[in-house]
Amino acid sequence: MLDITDEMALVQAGEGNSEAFGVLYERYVGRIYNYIYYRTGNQADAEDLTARVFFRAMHHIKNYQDRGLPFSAWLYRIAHNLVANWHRDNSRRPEVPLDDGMIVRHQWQEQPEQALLKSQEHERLLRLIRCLPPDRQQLLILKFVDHLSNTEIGQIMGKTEGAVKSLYHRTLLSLRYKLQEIISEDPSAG
Amino acid sequence: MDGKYFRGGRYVDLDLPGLEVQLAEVLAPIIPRVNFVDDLKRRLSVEQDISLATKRLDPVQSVLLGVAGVISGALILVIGLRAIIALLGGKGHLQQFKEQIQQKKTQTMGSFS
Repeated sequence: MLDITDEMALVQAGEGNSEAFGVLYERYVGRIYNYIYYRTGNQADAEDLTARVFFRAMHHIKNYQDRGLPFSAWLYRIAHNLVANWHRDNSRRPEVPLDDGMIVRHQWQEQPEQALLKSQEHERLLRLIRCLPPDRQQLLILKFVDHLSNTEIGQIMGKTEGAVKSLYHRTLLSLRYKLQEIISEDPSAG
Repeated sequence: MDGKYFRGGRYVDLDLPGLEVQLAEVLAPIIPRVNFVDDLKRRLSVEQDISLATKRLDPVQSVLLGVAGVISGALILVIGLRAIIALLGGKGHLQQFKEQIQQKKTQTMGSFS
Protein backbone atom coordinates (compact mmCIF):
# COMPACT_ATOMS: atom_id res chain seq x y z
CA MET A 1 0.00 0.00 0.00
CA LEU A 2 2.86 2.35 0.83
CA ASP A 3 4.28 2.33 -2.71
CA ILE A 4 1.10 3.39 -4.53
CA THR A 5 1.03 6.71 -6.35
CA ASP A 6 -0.85 9.71 -5.03
CA GLU A 7 -3.37 9.38 -7.86
CA MET A 8 -4.18 5.78 -7.02
CA ALA A 9 -4.36 6.54 -3.30
CA LEU A 10 -6.68 9.45 -4.08
CA VAL A 11 -9.09 7.27 -6.05
CA GLN A 12 -9.14 4.63 -3.33
CA ALA A 13 -9.48 7.20 -0.56
CA GLY A 14 -12.41 8.75 -2.45
CA GLU A 15 -14.10 5.35 -2.40
CA GLY A 16 -13.80 5.28 1.38
CA ASN A 17 -10.57 3.31 1.76
CA SER A 18 -9.17 4.58 5.05
CA GLU A 19 -5.85 2.86 4.47
CA ALA A 20 -5.33 4.82 1.24
CA PHE A 21 -6.12 8.05 3.01
CA GLY A 22 -3.66 7.01 5.72
CA VAL A 23 -0.94 6.72 3.07
CA LEU A 24 -1.64 10.24 1.82
CA TYR A 25 -1.72 11.49 5.40
CA GLU A 26 1.68 10.02 6.25
CA ARG A 27 3.14 11.40 3.03
CA TYR A 28 2.03 14.97 3.61
CA VAL A 29 1.49 15.54 7.33
CA GLY A 30 5.06 16.72 7.88
CA ARG A 31 5.02 19.19 4.99
CA ILE A 32 1.65 20.65 5.91
CA TYR A 33 2.67 20.89 9.56
CA ASN A 34 5.87 22.73 8.63
CA TYR A 35 4.01 25.13 6.38
CA ILE A 36 1.49 25.97 9.09
CA TYR A 37 4.12 26.09 11.82
CA TYR A 38 6.13 28.75 10.04
CA ARG A 39 2.99 30.70 9.12
CA THR A 40 1.60 30.74 12.67
CA GLY A 41 4.81 30.69 14.71
CA ASN A 42 3.69 28.28 17.40
CA GLN A 43 3.31 24.57 17.87
CA ALA A 44 -0.15 24.47 19.42
CA ASP A 45 -1.83 26.33 16.56
CA ALA A 46 0.23 24.41 14.01
CA GLU A 47 -1.07 21.12 15.40
CA ASP A 48 -4.64 22.36 15.61
CA LEU A 49 -4.67 23.71 12.06
CA THR A 50 -2.86 20.66 10.64
CA ALA A 51 -5.57 18.46 12.13
CA ARG A 52 -8.26 20.66 10.58
CA VAL A 53 -6.57 20.48 7.16
CA PHE A 54 -6.65 16.69 7.15
CA PHE A 55 -10.19 16.44 8.52
CA ARG A 56 -11.37 18.83 5.82
CA ALA A 57 -9.44 16.92 3.16
CA MET A 58 -10.95 13.63 4.33
CA HIS A 59 -14.50 14.98 4.21
CA HIS A 60 -14.07 16.49 0.74
CA ILE A 61 -11.83 13.93 -0.91
CA LYS A 62 -14.82 12.46 -2.79
CA ASN A 63 -15.31 15.82 -4.50
CA TYR A 64 -11.63 16.19 -5.41
CA GLN A 65 -11.23 16.91 -9.10
CA ASP A 66 -7.94 16.16 -10.82
CA ARG A 67 -7.06 19.31 -12.74
CA GLY A 68 -3.55 18.22 -13.52
CA LEU A 69 -2.19 19.68 -10.29
CA PRO A 70 -0.49 17.58 -7.63
CA PHE A 71 -2.55 16.50 -4.63
CA SER A 72 -0.20 18.52 -2.42
CA ALA A 73 -1.40 21.71 -4.15
CA TRP A 74 -4.94 20.96 -2.96
CA LEU A 75 -3.74 20.32 0.61
CA TYR A 76 -1.64 23.50 0.63
CA ARG A 77 -4.67 25.42 -0.63
CA ILE A 78 -6.75 24.16 2.30
CA ALA A 79 -3.90 24.97 4.70
CA HIS A 80 -3.47 28.43 3.16
CA ASN A 81 -7.18 29.22 3.63
CA LEU A 82 -7.21 27.99 7.22
CA VAL A 83 -4.09 29.99 8.06
CA ALA A 84 -5.64 33.09 6.46
CA ASN A 85 -8.74 32.63 8.65
CA TRP A 86 -6.51 32.12 11.67
CA HIS A 87 -4.63 35.36 10.97
CA ARG A 88 -7.90 37.20 10.47
CA ASP A 89 -9.26 35.92 13.80
CA ASN A 90 -5.97 36.65 15.57
CA SER A 91 -5.67 40.18 14.20
CA ARG A 92 -8.07 41.26 16.94
CA ARG A 93 -5.89 39.66 19.60
CA PRO A 94 -2.30 40.45 20.66
CA GLU A 95 0.38 39.06 18.39
CA VAL A 96 1.36 35.48 19.14
CA PRO A 97 5.03 35.33 20.15
CA LEU A 98 7.40 33.06 18.29
CA ASP A 99 7.89 29.73 19.99
CA ASP A 100 11.15 29.48 21.90
CA GLY A 101 11.83 26.28 20.04
CA MET A 102 11.65 28.16 16.79
CA ILE A 103 14.58 30.34 17.80
CA VAL A 104 16.87 28.23 19.91
CA ARG A 105 16.81 24.97 17.98
CA HIS A 106 19.90 25.86 15.89
CA GLN A 107 22.16 26.42 18.85
CA TRP A 108 23.68 23.02 19.18
CA GLN A 109 27.47 22.57 19.06
CA GLU A 110 28.17 26.31 19.34
CA GLN A 111 29.75 28.52 21.97
CA PRO A 112 27.13 30.26 24.12
CA GLU A 113 28.07 33.72 22.80
CA GLN A 114 27.91 32.67 19.16
CA ALA A 115 24.72 30.78 19.80
CA LEU A 116 23.14 33.87 21.35
CA LEU A 117 24.17 36.07 18.41
CA LYS A 118 22.87 33.57 15.94
CA SER A 119 19.67 33.18 17.88
CA GLN A 120 19.11 36.95 17.77
CA GLU A 121 19.79 37.03 14.04
CA HIS A 122 17.39 34.18 13.45
CA GLU A 123 14.72 35.75 15.58
CA ARG A 124 15.01 39.03 13.70
CA LEU A 125 14.87 37.32 10.34
CA LEU A 126 11.88 35.18 11.36
CA ARG A 127 10.02 38.27 12.52
CA LEU A 128 10.75 39.95 9.21
CA ILE A 129 9.55 36.90 7.30
CA ARG A 130 6.32 36.91 9.28
CA CYS A 131 5.77 40.56 8.34
CA LEU A 132 5.93 39.74 4.62
CA PRO A 133 2.70 39.43 2.59
CA PRO A 134 1.20 35.89 2.79
CA ASP A 135 2.18 34.88 -0.75
CA ARG A 136 5.83 35.77 -0.09
CA GLN A 137 5.84 33.86 3.19
CA GLN A 138 4.31 30.89 1.39
CA LEU A 139 6.97 31.06 -1.31
CA LEU A 140 9.85 31.10 1.19
CA ILE A 141 8.41 28.22 3.20
CA LEU A 142 7.83 26.08 0.13
CA LYS A 143 11.32 26.82 -1.12
CA PHE A 144 13.36 26.46 2.05
CA VAL A 145 11.32 24.18 4.28
CA ASP A 146 9.86 21.86 1.66
CA HIS A 147 12.70 22.28 -0.86
CA LEU A 148 10.30 22.48 -3.78
CA SER A 149 11.32 23.62 -7.26
CA ASN A 150 9.95 26.82 -8.80
CA THR A 151 7.69 24.72 -11.05
CA GLU A 152 6.19 22.88 -8.08
CA ILE A 153 5.79 26.11 -6.15
CA GLY A 154 4.08 27.64 -9.17
CA GLN A 155 1.62 24.73 -9.30
CA ILE A 156 0.75 25.19 -5.65
CA MET A 157 0.49 28.97 -5.80
CA GLY A 158 -1.21 29.11 -9.18
CA LYS A 159 1.65 31.06 -10.80
CA THR A 160 4.01 30.47 -13.68
CA GLU A 161 7.60 29.46 -13.05
CA GLY A 162 8.74 32.91 -14.22
CA ALA A 163 6.34 34.65 -11.87
CA VAL A 164 7.65 32.55 -8.97
CA LYS A 165 11.27 33.45 -9.84
CA SER A 166 10.40 37.10 -10.04
CA LEU A 167 8.46 37.06 -6.77
CA TYR A 168 11.34 35.24 -5.06
CA HIS A 169 13.88 37.81 -6.21
CA ARG A 170 11.69 40.70 -5.08
CA THR A 171 11.18 38.97 -1.73
CA LEU A 172 14.94 38.64 -1.19
CA LEU A 173 15.50 42.30 -2.07
CA SER A 174 12.71 43.36 0.25
CA LEU A 175 14.11 41.27 3.12
CA ARG A 176 17.62 42.62 2.60
CA TYR A 177 16.30 46.18 2.53
CA LYS A 178 14.40 45.66 5.78
CA LEU A 179 17.39 44.05 7.49
CA GLN A 180 19.62 46.97 6.50
CA GLU A 181 16.97 49.39 7.67
CA ILE A 182 16.85 47.76 11.12
CA ILE A 183 20.62 47.80 11.45
CA SER A 184 20.98 51.41 10.34
CA GLU A 185 18.22 52.49 12.77
CA ASP A 186 19.71 50.57 15.69
CA PRO A 187 23.32 49.43 15.16
CA SER A 188 23.19 47.50 18.46
CA ALA A 189 20.48 45.32 16.87
CA GLY A 190 23.28 43.44 15.15
CA MET B 1 26.60 50.19 6.57
CA ASP B 2 25.28 49.75 2.99
CA GLY B 3 25.36 46.13 1.98
CA LYS B 4 26.93 45.19 5.32
CA TYR B 5 25.33 43.01 7.91
CA PHE B 6 26.47 42.29 11.45
CA ARG B 7 26.82 38.56 11.71
CA GLY B 8 28.71 36.29 14.06
CA GLY B 9 30.26 39.28 15.84
CA ARG B 10 31.54 41.03 12.69
CA TYR B 11 30.23 42.92 9.69
CA VAL B 12 29.87 40.87 6.54
CA ASP B 13 28.46 41.64 3.10
CA LEU B 14 24.74 41.09 2.97
CA ASP B 15 24.57 39.74 -0.56
CA LEU B 16 21.61 37.76 -1.78
CA PRO B 17 23.35 34.36 -1.67
CA GLY B 18 24.32 35.15 1.93
CA LEU B 19 20.73 35.96 2.74
CA GLU B 20 19.65 32.70 1.12
CA VAL B 21 22.06 30.81 3.38
CA GLN B 22 20.53 32.50 6.40
CA LEU B 23 17.02 31.73 5.20
CA ALA B 24 17.97 28.08 4.83
CA GLU B 25 19.24 28.08 8.42
CA VAL B 26 16.17 29.83 9.80
CA LEU B 27 13.56 27.94 7.78
CA ALA B 28 14.82 24.46 8.59
CA PRO B 29 12.28 21.63 8.39
CA ILE B 30 10.74 20.66 11.72
CA ILE B 31 9.57 17.20 12.67
CA PRO B 32 6.12 17.27 14.27
CA ARG B 33 5.64 15.46 17.58
CA VAL B 34 5.26 11.72 17.07
CA ASN B 35 2.36 11.61 19.54
CA PHE B 36 0.54 14.29 17.59
CA VAL B 37 1.03 12.52 14.25
CA ASP B 38 -0.09 9.14 15.62
CA ASP B 39 -3.03 10.58 17.53
CA LEU B 40 -4.27 12.53 14.51
CA LYS B 41 -4.01 9.44 12.32
CA ARG B 42 -6.09 7.47 14.81
CA ARG B 43 -8.71 10.25 15.04
CA LEU B 44 -8.96 10.44 11.25
CA SER B 45 -9.38 6.69 11.00
CA VAL B 46 -12.13 6.64 13.64
CA GLU B 47 -13.94 9.55 11.98
CA GLN B 48 -13.80 7.83 8.60
CA ASP B 49 -15.13 4.57 10.04
CA ILE B 50 -18.04 6.39 11.68
CA SER B 51 -18.98 8.28 8.53
CA LEU B 52 -18.76 5.08 6.47
CA ALA B 53 -20.90 3.15 8.95
CA THR B 54 -23.64 5.77 8.83
CA LYS B 55 -23.57 5.94 5.04
CA ARG B 56 -23.45 2.23 4.21
CA LEU B 57 -26.86 0.56 4.82
CA ASP B 58 -27.42 -3.11 4.31
CA PRO B 59 -30.03 -3.81 1.50
CA VAL B 60 -32.11 -5.90 3.92
CA GLN B 61 -32.04 -3.03 6.40
CA SER B 62 -33.19 -0.64 3.66
CA VAL B 63 -36.16 -2.90 2.76
CA LEU B 64 -37.12 -3.32 6.42
CA LEU B 65 -36.93 0.43 6.92
CA GLY B 66 -39.20 0.97 3.89
CA VAL B 67 -41.78 -1.60 5.06
CA ALA B 68 -41.76 -0.14 8.56
CA GLY B 69 -42.34 3.29 7.06
CA VAL B 70 -45.35 2.12 4.99
CA ILE B 71 -46.93 0.27 7.95
CA SER B 72 -46.45 3.27 10.22
CA GLY B 73 -48.04 5.56 7.62
CA ALA B 74 -51.05 3.26 7.19
CA LEU B 75 -51.53 3.01 10.96
CA ILE B 76 -51.43 6.77 11.36
CA LEU B 77 -54.03 7.11 8.55
CA VAL B 78 -56.42 4.54 10.10
CA ILE B 79 -56.12 6.07 13.57
CA GLY B 80 -56.74 9.49 12.11
CA LEU B 81 -59.88 8.36 10.23
CA ARG B 82 -61.23 6.58 13.31
CA ALA B 83 -60.71 9.70 15.34
CA ILE B 84 -62.61 11.83 12.82
CA ILE B 85 -65.48 9.30 12.68
CA ALA B 86 -65.68 9.13 16.47
CA LEU B 87 -65.69 12.91 16.68
CA LEU B 88 -68.51 13.27 14.12
CA GLY B 89 -70.53 10.42 15.71
CA GLY B 90 -70.18 11.93 19.16
CA LYS B 91 -71.69 15.22 18.01
CA GLY B 92 -74.58 13.51 16.19
CA HIS B 93 -73.51 14.79 12.78
CA LEU B 94 -73.12 11.26 11.48
CA GLN B 95 -76.63 10.31 12.62
CA GLN B 96 -78.08 13.41 10.94
CA PHE B 97 -76.20 12.59 7.79
CA LYS B 98 -77.60 9.03 7.80
CA GLU B 99 -81.11 10.33 8.36
CA GLN B 100 -80.78 12.78 5.50
CA ILE B 101 -79.74 9.97 3.16
CA GLN B 102 -82.64 7.82 4.38
CA GLN B 103 -85.11 10.66 3.76
CA LYS B 104 -83.80 11.19 0.25
CA LYS B 105 -84.22 7.49 -0.48
CA THR B 106 -87.80 7.50 0.85
CA GLN B 107 -88.65 10.55 -1.24
CA THR B 108 -87.26 8.93 -4.33
CA MET B 109 -89.21 5.72 -3.70
CA GLY B 110 -92.43 7.75 -3.13
CA SER B 111 -92.12 9.67 -6.36
CA PHE B 112 -91.77 6.42 -8.33
CA SER B 113 -94.81 4.82 -6.72
